[in-house]
Amino acid sequence: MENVLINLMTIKTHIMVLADRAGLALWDNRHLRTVSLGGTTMFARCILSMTGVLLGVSLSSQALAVQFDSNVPLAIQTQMNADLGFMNSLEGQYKTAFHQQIFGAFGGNSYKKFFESHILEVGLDGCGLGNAVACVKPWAGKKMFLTNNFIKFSHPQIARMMVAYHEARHTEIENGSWAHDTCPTPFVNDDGSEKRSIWTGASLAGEKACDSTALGSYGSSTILLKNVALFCTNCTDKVKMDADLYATDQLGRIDEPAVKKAMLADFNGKQ
Amino acid sequence: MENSNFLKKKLISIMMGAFLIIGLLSFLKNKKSQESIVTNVDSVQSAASAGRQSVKSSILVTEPTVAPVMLSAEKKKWQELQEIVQSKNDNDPRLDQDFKTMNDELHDLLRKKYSDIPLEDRSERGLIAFLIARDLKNNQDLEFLKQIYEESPCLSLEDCKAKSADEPHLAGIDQSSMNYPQLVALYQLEKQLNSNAAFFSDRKIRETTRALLDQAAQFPVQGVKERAARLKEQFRL
Repeated sequence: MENVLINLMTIKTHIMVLADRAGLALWDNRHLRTVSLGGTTMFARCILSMTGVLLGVSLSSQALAVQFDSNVPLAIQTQMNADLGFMNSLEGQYKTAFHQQIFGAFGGNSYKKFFESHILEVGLDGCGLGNAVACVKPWAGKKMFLTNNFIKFSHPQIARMMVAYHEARHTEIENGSWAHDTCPTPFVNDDGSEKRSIWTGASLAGEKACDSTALGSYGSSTILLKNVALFCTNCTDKVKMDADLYATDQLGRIDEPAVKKAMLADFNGKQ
Repeated sequence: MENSNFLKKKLISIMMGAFLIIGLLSFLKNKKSQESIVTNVDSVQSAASAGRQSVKSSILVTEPTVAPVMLSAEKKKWQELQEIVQSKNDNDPRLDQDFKTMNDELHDLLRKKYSDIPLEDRSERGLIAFLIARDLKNNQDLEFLKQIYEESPCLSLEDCKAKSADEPHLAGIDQSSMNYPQLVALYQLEKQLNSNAAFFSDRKIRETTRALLDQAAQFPVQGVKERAARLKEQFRL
């Protein structure tokens, strides 16, 4: 029922935007009232409603390709749809070889296809840990769970999508869900110092928080963001900067030096 | 013939009836959805406000507490920025079209506004740091950036003043967001140092930049410290 109500709200929004663009102040914001239509009000409302349903269904069919559970708050649905819409809008002429291997050509069509081939449903969950934004579960198939942190925590847009694409990659059961590698002991930075959590000081050594392949969740999301930073032609400076910042961080989770080197070389090439 | 007319009239009546029922249902459901949506948004907002200030207290909704006299052009830009932040659309082209070159009044307003933003709104604070650092105009801008490294580090996205449990899986993303204003400022400063040599040739500007990097090199987060140290060395500051 809630989904029906949400869809009706979406439909109404589409109509209001269209009416507004057409210079027609047909409906007010609060009560879906027809304005200044005199004695034909009810009939006109019926016609408008029917038109609205048809138009709304056609317009929302693209935006709502991912199905949300009824208990996912509207604010989270709206943000997720907006973020996926942002990814679907990206344009660029080039890509790296790893990007081609994982996502295909650079651009919104590829990112939409990738995401929708991995995630069909979105639910709400705590994901087990206080800080988690999203997760997938092996028994849930192509379903992603978002937490309230998705809108509560102040992450840049590309960082939210990095998490979403990272988790989407984990749904590939045929590839062992790209299970993470155990970080080596010791796990060191380029300067030889041990990699540790910034705040707790806990070592990442021995944690299941690394990848030894470029194609896993850390690698693929790093490759996605690096390509956005390098080749996006309709991104703002901010998006490109954010993509570079967050990709650089995730690259640190690749614990196999030869793989990391291959990724760095990949970022210096284009096709 | 008469039978056919009767059927036509009956069909029209049924269609009219269907329109009326759909219209009525749509109206009633819309009223309910308004209530339902308000409830949903309220529940999310109350969750979001637990442990920290609500987003409403951020740059988006509040009017400037320090309200300098703004010319209509600045006012329009300020409203635009509020819209962009509220939409959470980092790819709004207006960020590049309208905020790449800002006048002194807008710089002044952004610098003042920064400290009004809740500590936990890392992305908004970072956006202001980004806009100022991308468009460095004077010593005041550099002093402002230096102050960002005088802040206490944000300890968690939930509450910048309290540590939260560490979850190694995607902690790197959290930690980048916690240090977002500090990282963004250095990222843009590096771009400026590379592309705007004339600006940094001024002795006073160079001194303040050096002080800024010294401060950043003391920021108690390894990634920030390292980047600042690298810039100092690279640009001999």
